[in-house]
Amino acid sequence: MRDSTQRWSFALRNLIRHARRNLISGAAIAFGFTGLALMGAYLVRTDAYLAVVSVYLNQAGHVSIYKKDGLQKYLTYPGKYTLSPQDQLRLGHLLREFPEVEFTAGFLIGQGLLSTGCRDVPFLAKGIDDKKGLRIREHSLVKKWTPGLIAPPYDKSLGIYPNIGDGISITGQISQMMGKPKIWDDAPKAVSPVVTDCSDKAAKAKLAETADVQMVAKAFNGDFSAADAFIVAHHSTGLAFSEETSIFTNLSHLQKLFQTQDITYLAVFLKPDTSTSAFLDRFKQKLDAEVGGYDVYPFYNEKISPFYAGVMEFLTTMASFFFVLVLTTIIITIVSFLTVGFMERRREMGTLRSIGYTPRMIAGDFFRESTLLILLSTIGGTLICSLVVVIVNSLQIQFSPPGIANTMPFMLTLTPKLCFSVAALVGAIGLSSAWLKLRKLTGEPIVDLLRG
Amino acid sequence: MSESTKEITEGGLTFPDLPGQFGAGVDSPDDQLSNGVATTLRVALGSMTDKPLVSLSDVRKTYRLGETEVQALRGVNLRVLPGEFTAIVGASGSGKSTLLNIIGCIDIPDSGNVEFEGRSTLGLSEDEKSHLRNRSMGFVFQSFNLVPVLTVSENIELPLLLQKELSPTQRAERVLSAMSDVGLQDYAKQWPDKLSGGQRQRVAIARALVTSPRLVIADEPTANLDSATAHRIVDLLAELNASRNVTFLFSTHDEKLMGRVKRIIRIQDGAFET
Repeated sequence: MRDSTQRWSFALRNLIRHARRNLISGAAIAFGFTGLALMGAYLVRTDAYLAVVSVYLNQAGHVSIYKKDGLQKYLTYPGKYTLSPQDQLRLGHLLREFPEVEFTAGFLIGQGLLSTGCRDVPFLAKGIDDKKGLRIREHSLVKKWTPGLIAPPYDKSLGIYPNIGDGISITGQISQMMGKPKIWDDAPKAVSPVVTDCSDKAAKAKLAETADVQMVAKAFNGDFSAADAFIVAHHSTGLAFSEETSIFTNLSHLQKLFQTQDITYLAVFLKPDTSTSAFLDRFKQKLDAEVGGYDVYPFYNEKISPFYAGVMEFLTTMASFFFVLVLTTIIITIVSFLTVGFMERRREMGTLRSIGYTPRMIAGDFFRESTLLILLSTIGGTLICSLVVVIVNSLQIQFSPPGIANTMPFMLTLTPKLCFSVAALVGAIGLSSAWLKLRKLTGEPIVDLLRG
Repeated sequence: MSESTKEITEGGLTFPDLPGQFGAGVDSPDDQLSNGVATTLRVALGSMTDKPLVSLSDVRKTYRLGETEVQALRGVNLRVLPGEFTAIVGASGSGKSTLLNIIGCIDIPDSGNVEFEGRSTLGLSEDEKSHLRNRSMGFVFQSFNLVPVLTVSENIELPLLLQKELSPTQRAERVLSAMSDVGLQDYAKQWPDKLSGGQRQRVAIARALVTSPRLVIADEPTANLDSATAHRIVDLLAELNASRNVTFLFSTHDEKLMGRVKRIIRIQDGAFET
C-alpha cells in the first residue's frame, strides 16, 4: 500500500467509506467552483464581445498607430495630424518584421454633415478600403463573438459593392433620423427629387424611397467640399454613443471629400491568440528606436475604446468583489468540512502513529484523500458549469446593457483555461488548508489522538 | 527462533528458576505464575539474562484538567524482563493506561526515566520513537483500532509497509503467518466490520505481532469483549507469549483473567500496590 498506486487506492477507499460526508463536502466545493467559474465565464464572454466590437467593428485594430499627438488633435487639425503616404510606407515596412501581424488597414476619419436636402445629420465618417472592410467584418472572431451584430440587416459590407465608389454604410439610428430606410439594393441608382417644401409629407415619402444622400464637409485644406453618396448598407457599431454619427465609406471616397491622400491612423490586426500587450511592447521599442514621431495605442486604451475600458474596469471590480465573497465562502466550507473529516479520524491517526507511522506519512495519506476529493469536486463543478452554460446559452436571453446599441445576448463562455485556473485556485486553497490542518493534527500527542 | 533457542517442556517446571524470565525486577508481591498456560515454551537464551527489556525509574506523570491536577503516576519503578507475560491490574483511572503509554513511547513522563533494552527512550526524537514502535513494539487497543477501509490482511500488513527491506512476498508471508497464529487465515480478504469483536481483536493482535516485536503492549484488550471471548483472547496472548517468546504487557480490570497470567502488577492511584 505504500506504493503510489496503493496509496491512492487507499485514499479512494477512504473517500468512498465516508461517502455521505464527502459528498456534501464535494458538493460544497463543486458549487463554489461553479460560482467562480460562471462568474469568470461571464467576464470572458463580455470581454471577448467588447474586444471584438472595439478591435473589428469599430476598427481600432489590436493596436492603432497615429501621428504623434494625432489622437488628440486629428479632428481639430486634420491636415496636420494624419499619416502621409510616406508614413504609411515606413510603418508598413516596419510591421512586416512582425509575423504575428495578420493584416493592417488604414483609416481616414472626418466629420461633416449628411444631408437629404430636408434633414441634416452630423456624421463622423470613417473611410476604409473596400477589401479590408470586408475582411474585418467577415473575420472569424467577429462571426464567433458578435454574430448578432453582423447578422441581417447588418451583413451588407461596403466591400460587396465594388462598383459603387460613393457607397456609404450608415447606422440604423442615422437611417431613422434622416428618414432614409432604403439602401441601394432597394432602389438602385434612384435619385431623390428636388424638394422645395420639406414639410410636405409626399415629398418626404419620395425622399424615403431613394438611397442617395449628400455629404458636406470642410476639406483638410480648408475648402468647402461636398459629394454625393449612396447608402448601400446599414451597420451597427455595437455601442450606443457612436450609433448616432457613425458612417463608413470607401477610403478613396472619403479622401476625395476631404481632398487628401492621408489617413488618420493605421490599425494593426493581430493573429488570433496573440498577446496584444506583448506585441505592443516589442513594436513600440522598435518604432521608437528606428522611426519615432508616432503614438501607438492598444485597443484597450481608454482613449481608443473608452467603453471597453470603462465596462471591463467596472465588471472586473464588481466581479472581484463577488469573487472574494464566494472564495471566502469556499475557503470556510472546505476548511470546515476537511477539519470535521480529519477530526473524526483522530483515533485512526493515533493508531497509525502508534505502529510507527510518522506525522508526515499520515498527513501525506490524508492529503491524498483531500486531493482526490478536490479533484473529483472540480470535475463535478466543471460538469455543472457546462450544463448551466449550455442551458443559459440555449435560452438566447437578450438584454440591453447601458452603452450597448441594440440588445446583447446574455451568454457565458466556459474555456478550458478558465476551468483550469479556477480549479487551480480552489485546489491550492483546499490543499494548503488541508495540509496545514493535517500537519497540526498529526503532530498532536498520540495519546490525545487515540482518545478520538 | 535462533540457534540459541532451546525448548523447555513445561511439567512442574518452576519458572523462577529461569533467570531473567520471572522474579527479577518485581515490584509487586502479587507476581505469580500461570499454570497450564502453555505446554511448550521456547525461551531465547539471549533473553535469559537479568537485563530488563523495559525499565522505569521513579516515573511520574500528572495531568492537568483545568484547575485540577491528577497524579496519574507517582514515582513508579518497574522492570520487565524479556518473555514476561504481565498484567497491569487496577481500577479505571488508576494509571494503567498512562503506564503502558509511557512504556510504549506514546506518552512522556513528567520526570523519571524510561529505558527500553537498556536505552533511555526519553531523549529520542519523534522519528526515532516511531522507528522503535514499528520495529520493537506492537500495540493492541481496547477498541481494536482497525482501519475500516483495509481488509484483514491489509490491516495486518500496515506496520510492515514501513520496513522497506521487506519485499512484497516477504510481507505476504509474514502476514499469512501472523493470521495463522491468531487463527484468521481464512479471513484475509474480509473487511473489519464483517468480523466479530473477538475476531477484530485477533486481527489487532496479529498486526501487533507481525513485525516480530520484542514487546506487545495491550491496553484493556478484553474490555470490549464478552467474558468467554475475553478468556479466549487472553489464552491466545499467553500462547503467543509462550510460542514466540514475545514479552506481553497488558492492562485489565477483569479479575477473572488473573489466573491466566504469570505476573500481575496491581496499581492504584498511580502507584503499585505493595
